[in-house]
Amino acid sequence: MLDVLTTDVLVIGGGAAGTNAALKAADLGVEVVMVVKGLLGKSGCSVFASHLPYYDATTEQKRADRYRYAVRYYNHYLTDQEHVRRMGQYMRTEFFEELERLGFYVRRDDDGALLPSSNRVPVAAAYKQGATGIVLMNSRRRAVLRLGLPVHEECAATSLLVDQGRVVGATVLDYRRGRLFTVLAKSTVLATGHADSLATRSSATREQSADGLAMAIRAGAEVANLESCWWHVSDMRAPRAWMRMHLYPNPLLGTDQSSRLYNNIGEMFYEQISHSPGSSAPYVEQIRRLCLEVEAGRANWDGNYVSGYDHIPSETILTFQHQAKVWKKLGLDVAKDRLECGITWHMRQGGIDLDTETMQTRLPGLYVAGGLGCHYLGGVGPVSYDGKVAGTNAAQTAHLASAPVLPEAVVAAEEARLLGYLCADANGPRPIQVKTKIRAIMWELGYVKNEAKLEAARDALRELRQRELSSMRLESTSRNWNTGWLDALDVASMLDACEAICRSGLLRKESRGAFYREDYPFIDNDNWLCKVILSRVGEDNWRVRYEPYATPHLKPDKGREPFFEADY
Amino acid sequence: MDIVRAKVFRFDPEVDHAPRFETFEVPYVPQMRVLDVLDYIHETLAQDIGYRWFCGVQKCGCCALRVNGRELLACWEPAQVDMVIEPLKHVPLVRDLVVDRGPFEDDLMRLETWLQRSKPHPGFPEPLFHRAMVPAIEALKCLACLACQSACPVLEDDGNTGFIGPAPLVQLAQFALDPRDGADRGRTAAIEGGIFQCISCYKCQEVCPTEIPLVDGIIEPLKRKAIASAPEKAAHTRAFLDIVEERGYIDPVQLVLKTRGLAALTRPGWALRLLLRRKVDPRKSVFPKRHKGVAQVRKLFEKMRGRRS
Amino acid sequence: MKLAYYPGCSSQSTCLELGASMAQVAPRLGLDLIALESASCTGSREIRAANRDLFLALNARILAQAGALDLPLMTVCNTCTLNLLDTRKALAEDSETRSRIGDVLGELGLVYRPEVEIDHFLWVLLERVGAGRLRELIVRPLSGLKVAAFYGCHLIRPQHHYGFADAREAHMIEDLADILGCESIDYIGRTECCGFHTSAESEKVAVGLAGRYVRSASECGAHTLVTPCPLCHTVLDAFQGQMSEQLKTNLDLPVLHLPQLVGLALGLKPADLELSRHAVTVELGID
Repeated sequence: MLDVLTTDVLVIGGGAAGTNAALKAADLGVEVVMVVKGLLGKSGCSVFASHLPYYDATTEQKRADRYRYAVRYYNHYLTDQEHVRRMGQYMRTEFFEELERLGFYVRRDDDGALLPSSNRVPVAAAYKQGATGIVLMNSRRRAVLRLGLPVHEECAATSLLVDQGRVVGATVLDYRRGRLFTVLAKSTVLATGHADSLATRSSATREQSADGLAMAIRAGAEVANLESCWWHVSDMRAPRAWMRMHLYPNPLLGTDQSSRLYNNIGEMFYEQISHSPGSSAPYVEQIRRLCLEVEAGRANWDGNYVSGYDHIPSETILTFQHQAKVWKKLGLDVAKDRLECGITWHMRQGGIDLDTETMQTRLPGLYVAGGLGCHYLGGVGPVSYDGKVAGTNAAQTAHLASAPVLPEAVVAAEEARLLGYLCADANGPRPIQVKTKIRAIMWELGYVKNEAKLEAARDALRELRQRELSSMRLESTSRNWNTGWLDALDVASMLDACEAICRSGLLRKESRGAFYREDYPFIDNDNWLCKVILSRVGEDNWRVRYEPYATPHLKPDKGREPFFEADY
Repeated sequence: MDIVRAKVFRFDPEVDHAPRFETFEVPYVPQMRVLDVLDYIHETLAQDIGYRWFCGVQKCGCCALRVNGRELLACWEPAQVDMVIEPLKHVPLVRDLVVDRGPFEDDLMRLETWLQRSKPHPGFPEPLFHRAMVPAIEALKCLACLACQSACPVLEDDGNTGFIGPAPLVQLAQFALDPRDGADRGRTAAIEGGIFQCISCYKCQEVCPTEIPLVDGIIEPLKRKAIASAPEKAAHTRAFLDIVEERGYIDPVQLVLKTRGLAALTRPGWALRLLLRRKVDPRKSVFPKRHKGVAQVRKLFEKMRGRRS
Repeated sequence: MKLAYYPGCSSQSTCLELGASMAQVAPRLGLDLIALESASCTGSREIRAANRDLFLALNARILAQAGALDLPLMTVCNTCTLNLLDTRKALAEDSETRSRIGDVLGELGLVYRPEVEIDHFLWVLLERVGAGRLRELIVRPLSGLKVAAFYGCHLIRPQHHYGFADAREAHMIEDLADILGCESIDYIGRTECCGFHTSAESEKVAVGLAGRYVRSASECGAHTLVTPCPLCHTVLDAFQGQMSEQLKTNLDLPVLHLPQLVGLALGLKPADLELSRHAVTVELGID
């Protein structure tokens, strides 16, 4: 029998969403336990945040620009517009207030005035643009630990416990010690984020392998819009570790310029200020333009195009940009040199479906906060709002809920599954090798999708599942920091998530935002302004339904338009 | 270079009797980082190798280790053709290249490394000039990677000196140097931090991946506060200042006597041994020749008295 | 060549042999040292920690005195060197600091001179005297003498003064030893810290750290250590007895100052170089 921890609210995930959920739940006096696969405030993608959306509400125009950005450019209308309103209100009135109270320094100028970027949808940052996430997450980490909240780090949640249709906690592998345990909770908040290392080139961190998504799918939760996954374009081509090194294309502090992308004949084919003036997160337009370059032979998906800041006074870059250190490290000059880039699988827009007023999913007891949800792409500010709502509601429910009963059979089955991977007795594929194959399949699927490619990817994943999942073998069965064992669990999660992503892609018969199907190369708001919702029963039984989005405040201007002519 | 030879420290306390080194040959790829070498080993040669990393791009600070005796971030530094790769020192080992950050985190709790405002937050945006934050910003560059902690010689042999090490002190400095903080960080640096045990060797600064000026920008400002807040811990410093003000130069015999007091006489220290050996002329200590510059020196002391920086 | 000379505090107190051997060796090297007799202590690590402006003023005064002579300034101690370099850098980088300190010096009738060159004796040897001239002056090549260089932190770190991304790259003392005919020994501790700067309170840390290095040098076959810093010398030499006690082994490895090593090669006698003052007897078979 595994050790059981009992608590009111279990928070899985230690990024901007998870930490805020834990803090708000704790504020309401309930017991909180955090389970973090990496290290609180260090792993995951929150540390990568370069800047924060600066909600300047001083004029109606600015409010409108901001709203339009959030709904049209950041979420392509696949969002709950009321949620965007509420979240905007939070960003305007609470987010910066709380952050600064904790001590976070929002960059000022020499006269003491706040120093946001100068574009239509401005951003503000920490002492340097690019360092924001590091500082913000350090603050959050300290805030959580100060309260004495139990935080179980380097502990991977492996499954959600479901008892009579209610989520009552999770099983966890402490992979430092190789110890399995269970957390029994009245409410569970899943906040595992929107970045997963699912393709050969991916900006996700080591431990991000879609566990949150996979756990939810296995528990029968509904997931929506999984096909919508953003790519980064200005990530470095090499070295391999640096495929996460983002040469931020966003609006910059201290200048009205933004970085540029150049093809292999030196032509500039993208800059935010010209090509996406209404968007401060211009990745969708970046990759659309890159696609044209690739198709014309003027760039590749994994190289042969460059990014640079050389058109901007280098002093401005050196003063405000954290990434200037990359040039310095390579012995290059940011005033002259451009760096070769390649695309990376970056962040998932879709995710688990939920009620944005409470962050509750359709599974009682299960809340979701942040990028893992399907309701809003992400960003440390917006997900902090989610965390607040989820944490508050999870705590309130916990007050009212009855103590859950441990579903022993479920726990036993999960224990058997996990221990089943801890096997070194025969020659089988190593989990890391299977991971590599999954990533190769998703990389091959790539940005330009069509029915044949989606089916091929889906089938290849199924084949891997059938042939290799149960025959994986580890190098050793040591319990002490067994990377191979963790890799095996990751493989299982990745197979679940990637298969769902492919299935969802086959269902949406249009292109939108980051999702491009060359067999349906148009945005189709007449038919497809809706959620594509999947859920799985058992191993293999998929249910599909569609739910149109209400557009009470902002409607798309066109019903149907060619994807490459749209600006969102 | 075609091949990188990596000799990697291996020790799994659960199954190994003793630490050992395992050598791997890895095909070199241009611009390869140390982390890329470890990833290759993990993916093809030794899938159970224990190493920690998350971001790969110098944001999380979790991949610090030693290569050829030198602390660095595996994700940030290029691979070298011959590498001996070992875990950080002065931090307990979990396995292979993975260390236990627990004691460091406990240190941070003891130092109370969060903002303790001297006045309540007046609302966002609070009045604050960028210039006022510049000293703290040096400390904000810290990734808590523990490279400096590993490099610090005072922490060898379990330390036992009461010195907490540079890494927790940088985190403390984030608030000690923040104009909004009102806690007595100087006292903390002196007592919980043992800051006067720093030997000023600059090894921490040498290895810091984000180039924090650890000595000038962190240790010395903290010492300044410590001298003011906990003068009883700074006997040596106060004695030094007094002697130089009086004589214009430092007399080590006087320094030891003033610092250690009568204890210096009962337990002969090095200064007294030097006396025996004729290394030191006792007459110079007892009957010092008047230093030619002493008048000007005393004037400088007078003018600068009470200044901090 | 004429050089302003800053003797520092140690060469006039705990390392009298350093001052004496410097006085013997300088003329033979063609160095005419003009001592800055009213120069104060540079403040070691203590004054700069306690009061940065006072530290800057004391050091700027030394640089002003050298500047008044219009001569480059030679030092014989690592920490003094670093203090002077740091002062020059601080005043160069911040005009407000420069004018504040300049004003204070002005009240003493002194003018700060930012262009004063600061050279430790080691650099004077290698760059001003030069390998060629030095070879010509050698009377007694020290062949067979195995020398272990102990650099001392403040002549090799931090990088912004000394240029070493990794201080282990430092090679000046080995270069000098080579010119003098010695064989250089590699060992653990060459570029490590002797721990001097906490030794006024307790020599425990210094003994613990340096003991290991002295033992390593000895085990690697060194006949002597050589160091450019009298603070390191004090630890390596005067504390060696305690190191032997702690390590339960008889270390007995002599420690030479740079001018003593050079002086031996120039034909000077041990008595001229005041080797008898050392805590660890210097018996190198050179008379």
